[in-house]
Amino acid sequence: MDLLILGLQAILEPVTMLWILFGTIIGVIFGALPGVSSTMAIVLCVSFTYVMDPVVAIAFLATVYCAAITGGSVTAILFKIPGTPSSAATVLDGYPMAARGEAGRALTISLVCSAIGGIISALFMFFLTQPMMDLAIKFSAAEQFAVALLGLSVLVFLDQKHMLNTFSSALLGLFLATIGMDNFSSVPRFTFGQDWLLDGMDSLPFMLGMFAAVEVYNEIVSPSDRSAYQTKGAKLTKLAPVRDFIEMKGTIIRSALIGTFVGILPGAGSNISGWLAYTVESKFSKHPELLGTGDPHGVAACETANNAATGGAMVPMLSMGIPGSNAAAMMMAALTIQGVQLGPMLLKAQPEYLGATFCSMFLANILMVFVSLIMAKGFARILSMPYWMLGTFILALAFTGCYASRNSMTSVYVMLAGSVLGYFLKKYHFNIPALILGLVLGPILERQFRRGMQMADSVGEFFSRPITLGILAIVVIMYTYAFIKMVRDHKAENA
Amino acid sequence: MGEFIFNLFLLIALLVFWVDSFQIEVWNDYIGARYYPMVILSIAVILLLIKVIRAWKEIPPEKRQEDLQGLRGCLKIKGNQRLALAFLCCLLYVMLLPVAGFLLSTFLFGIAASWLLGAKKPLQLIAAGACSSLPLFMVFVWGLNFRLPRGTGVLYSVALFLENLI
Repeated sequence: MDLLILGLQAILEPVTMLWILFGTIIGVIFGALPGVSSTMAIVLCVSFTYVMDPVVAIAFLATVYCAAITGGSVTAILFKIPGTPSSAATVLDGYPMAARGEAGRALTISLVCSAIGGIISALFMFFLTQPMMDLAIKFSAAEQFAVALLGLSVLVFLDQKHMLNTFSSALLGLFLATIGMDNFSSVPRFTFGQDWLLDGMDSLPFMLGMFAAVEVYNEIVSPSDRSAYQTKGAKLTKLAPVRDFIEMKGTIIRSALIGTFVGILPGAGSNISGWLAYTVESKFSKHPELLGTGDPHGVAACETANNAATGGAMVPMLSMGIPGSNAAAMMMAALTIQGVQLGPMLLKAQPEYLGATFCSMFLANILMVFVSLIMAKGFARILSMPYWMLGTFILALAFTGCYASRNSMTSVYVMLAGSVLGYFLKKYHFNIPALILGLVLGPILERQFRRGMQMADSVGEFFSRPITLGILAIVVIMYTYAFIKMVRDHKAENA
Repeated sequence: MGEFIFNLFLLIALLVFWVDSFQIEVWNDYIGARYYPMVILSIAVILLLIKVIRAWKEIPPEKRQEDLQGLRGCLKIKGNQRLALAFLCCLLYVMLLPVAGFLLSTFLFGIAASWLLGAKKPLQLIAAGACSSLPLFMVFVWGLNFRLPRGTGVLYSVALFLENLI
């Protein structure tokens, strides 16, 4: 209670509230822009913190972090451009919802669910930092490998009628993730002597190419009837009713818990939490066949989890001085400059920081809903623009975002190649979300697998850890089910 | 036939990578650098082989020869022509970016892309070019302080001048 009062005292200053509002607006804008990740948003905002009190600085940066993750969903839903990698899964259901005229509903669901996820994880962060850290410490490389593999098992439900295509696409993504310099031994892999490939295949250019650019190419080849978008009326900006959220309460709570816990695991973060929550949702959903076609539950699961991961990422940062994500690492650097002693001594020496972080995240998540909704209404009206303008802008934005992400033409070349490949992959029934999933989770899978194998004395020891074994058992069951279904469907087709 | 050829192309590409994986150096305990991607590629090759065979079987035997010959005229189809033009536009844009700088390249690209997307009037084309270059320049350069391609020669000087305007 004392911590809460300390935090409120720190936050409820007019100047602090203004910084939180500013941080929310900046975070949402940065998050919506492809090529500007939440990490970059924090880096760009660090310079503002030099003139701030440390408590205000932590509140400001936490706000930017939450808002940036949420902002990524705006363009993911409206333009099929994930503003941040963590919003890639939101595209699967968010964009189809927008395509059938439910952009406002999709946006409300994503923004409100993000806020709820952020608030729940902030509560966990505040009250359960120590116990959650005790549990997270048990998760070593083997367990993190198993969690990443579980995240990959969403493939089983992405397209149940074409599993061969889905698995082929995922394997292609996993392979593309191996291109570049090997992290362990620093040997180049599949670079064919090209230096620009040494940095590897970033997932963002592929996402921009395969999601955004391919849509525009399809419109060029065969223009669709976009008259529904031209209607300027309440339909496009109609918000989701409250009953939507009541109906999805199970999804929201489940995804918030998943996101919070995954966020605590260093290196996992928002990228994997969204996909994992989507996987779990496919298991619990009464209509899993609707996922990927514009099911609001899909949007709710991803957005709740990826924003809940922000609170989770704060747990190891505040309690142990270990950043739970890249963005948290940037925050740590900024706060160290301010003289904040993150780690076990924080609660004893500088308890006001924990209170300030919690209160600012709480407030930011609420503010974020209103700020984002105002901005999203404006974004949604953009959909009524003629497509020769909108499509051109989308392409230009995608290329610019790619360049900005690494300040290098390499990303632009990769995006161009990805867009051409993505067009034909989509045309010939490959599963692009599966490929992106493989590309995003591939590095985590390989890193944790190889690290775990190095730490374990034998293969048996790696796979016999109780938590790893439990998660892997679930994965095996899911893939076995998928294989049996694939064989049955093939026999039924031939019959 | 298109599906068969594309799957075959992917299969050949992955086989090339699979062969190349034997060249990956292995140091001490770091065998994973070679064998991890090799395992992934092996499974991918098997799955793609199945897809290639299925794609071939799906084409009726009497149509195979006809489809193969039909491929020669694929660029005569209007949709494919527009697609090829779209790819060419994007390629030219990417090649022009480091040379002509962001603003000019994106403006020209905007005109080309909007024409492909159905804009007909000169004013529409110019508006599309302007709206796809200027706002992005303002946001990324003036707003976020990113450095976008400046081009070469006099275009470099102009870009530098504009960047420092605000």
